[in-house]
Amino acid sequence: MLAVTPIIEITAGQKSFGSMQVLHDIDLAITPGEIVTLLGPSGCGKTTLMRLIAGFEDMSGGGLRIDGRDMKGIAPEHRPVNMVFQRYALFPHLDVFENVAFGLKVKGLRGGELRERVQRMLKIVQLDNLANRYIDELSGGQCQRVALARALVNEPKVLLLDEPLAALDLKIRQLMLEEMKRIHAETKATFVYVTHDQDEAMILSDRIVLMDRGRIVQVDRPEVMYAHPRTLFAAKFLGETNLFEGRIVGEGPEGLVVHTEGGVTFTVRAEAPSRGPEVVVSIRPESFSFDPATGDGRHSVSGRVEDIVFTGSRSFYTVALQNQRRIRVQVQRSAKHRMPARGAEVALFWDHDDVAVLPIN
Amino acid sequence: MLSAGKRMGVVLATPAVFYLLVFFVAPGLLLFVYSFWTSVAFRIVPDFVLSNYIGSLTSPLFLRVTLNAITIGLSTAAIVLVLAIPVAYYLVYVAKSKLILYAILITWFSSYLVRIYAWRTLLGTNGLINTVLINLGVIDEPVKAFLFSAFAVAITLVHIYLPFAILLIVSTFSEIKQDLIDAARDLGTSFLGGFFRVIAPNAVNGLLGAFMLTFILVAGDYVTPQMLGGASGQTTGLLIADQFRKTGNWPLGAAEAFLMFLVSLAVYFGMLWLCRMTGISVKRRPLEKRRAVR
Repeated sequence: MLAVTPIIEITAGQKSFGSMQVLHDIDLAITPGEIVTLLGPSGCGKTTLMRLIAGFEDMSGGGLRIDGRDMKGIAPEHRPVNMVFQRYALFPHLDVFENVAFGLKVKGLRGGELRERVQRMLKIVQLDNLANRYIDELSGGQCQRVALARALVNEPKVLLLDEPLAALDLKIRQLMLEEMKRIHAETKATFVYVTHDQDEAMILSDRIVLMDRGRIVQVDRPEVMYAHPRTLFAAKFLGETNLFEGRIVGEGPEGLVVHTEGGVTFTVRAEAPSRGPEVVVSIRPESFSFDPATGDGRHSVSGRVEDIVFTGSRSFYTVALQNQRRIRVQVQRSAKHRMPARGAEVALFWDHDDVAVLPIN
Repeated sequence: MLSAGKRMGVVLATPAVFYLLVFFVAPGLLLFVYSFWTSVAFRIVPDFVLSNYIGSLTSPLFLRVTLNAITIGLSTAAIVLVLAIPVAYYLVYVAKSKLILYAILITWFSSYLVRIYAWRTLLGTNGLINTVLINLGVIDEPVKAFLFSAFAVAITLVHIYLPFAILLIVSTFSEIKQDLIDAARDLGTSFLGGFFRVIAPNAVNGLLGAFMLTFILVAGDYVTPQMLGGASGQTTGLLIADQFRKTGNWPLGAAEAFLMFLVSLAVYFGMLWLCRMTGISVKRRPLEKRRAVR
């Protein structure tokens, strides 16, 4: 891993619009062939970061190298990257073939080679039978494929995707995510994918770059970021979680002991955050169980089932503790266990490996 | 029975359609009929002759003046378009502000005639331009050719019609998203390449509209040529106006007006052909007539 030169390397990246700084101290290295998502709420700077890479915006400070080459002063048309735009930005005056051929034609490609490369790309995105359609004659999902093909046919070192699925409905989005993975495997390009949707990020990414208010908060593999968020923001943004404010009261052989406002005591196998004993404990709804066998045998808390939402394979329980503190619990449907009914007194169990302790903001 | 939508359309359009029928289509047809009549001693007589058309087309004066009108029209429209496009581009994609557009439209608060007189003052022998050039030592005596020339007509008409063109082109560019320009750059075009490959083809109707509006208004204008044109700046509009006002030969004036109409049509189709040839305008074929394989 370390021997590979990063395809994109940003060091101390800054960006300001007028007096407003939108990106602070961005350090990021992307490995060739990776799918990296820039994930964060709107206004976190993820799109700006992508536009800096594409060359539509100039950096206010810091350095950007693509494929080892310094990009300072290099116009977008001279960068080895191509972009898929949020609302596709397909050319309405051209048909599908001409849209996909656009970049190659600009580079001076003509005749048989042009035709061949465009046709091959249209096959990859499964649009070879729609080559003579105009953009307004296509569905949203088909437009999305044209946008992908138009960018990928240029064989960019890096493909930038700006919320490419935001305009599609849920079902097509699922399909397109799988398509995207397949196309990535076929083209072997590096994908940098901007999204505010945590599900898309987790399904697609090799690594997630989580951003908040112009800074990179955490860079990790999806499963690591989900299990071990390093900040309160990361815990809340990725998936659902139960948060308990508390105080570290000691350190035993099993880990840190945290007393929380809910009256629940957690032990956490983790390093204590550097900023004082005040902490937040995070535990995912699916880490709780009604079955004593699935816990670590040492931790439990009792309460009463207040509400149940059944969604098919899973059920979401709201359990109220004695002091009215509510806990969200997610359980898989199972034929073996009888699930508690509304109003039932229950005990919740968990494993202390599933507990994360986070610095309070 | 009409659908609700169509009934609504009829209700909304009727006043304007009625107005145009009565005050534009009917007089236009009347004028067309006149163009086949004859004029005898300042009175027009119903007839069916082609002499008004044939006479015009064989008259050296008419041909010279019409050629003049076409030249002034084309050059003014071209200058207006070349000046308006960068301004519209700046307003839509860079400044993104309506304020500057409103400022440009303020020029309409000064009347057309006032502006013609203003240009007379500027271009005259004792005018601003001559005075400055003499004081700078560029010329020894006033240049008379500034005033009463095709140049004077063109510069004044550019001044008058530029805001119209800017307004039209701004509204056309507003329909074309910034994303398309970014996409073109991303796919390797330069700034100008992006304009010709992406903006111009999608704005071609608006650009052609602005060009033709300017051309028609300029080629048909008879006030500016009269005040600023001198002998070399005469246009067909003035000639036609004279047939109605001075010589009282309405049939000849009507025929000349229709010939001018044909000229405008010819210019329009000529421009359209030019856009097709250069690939700026693309005609979309119906789906079943498109090539499936290439």
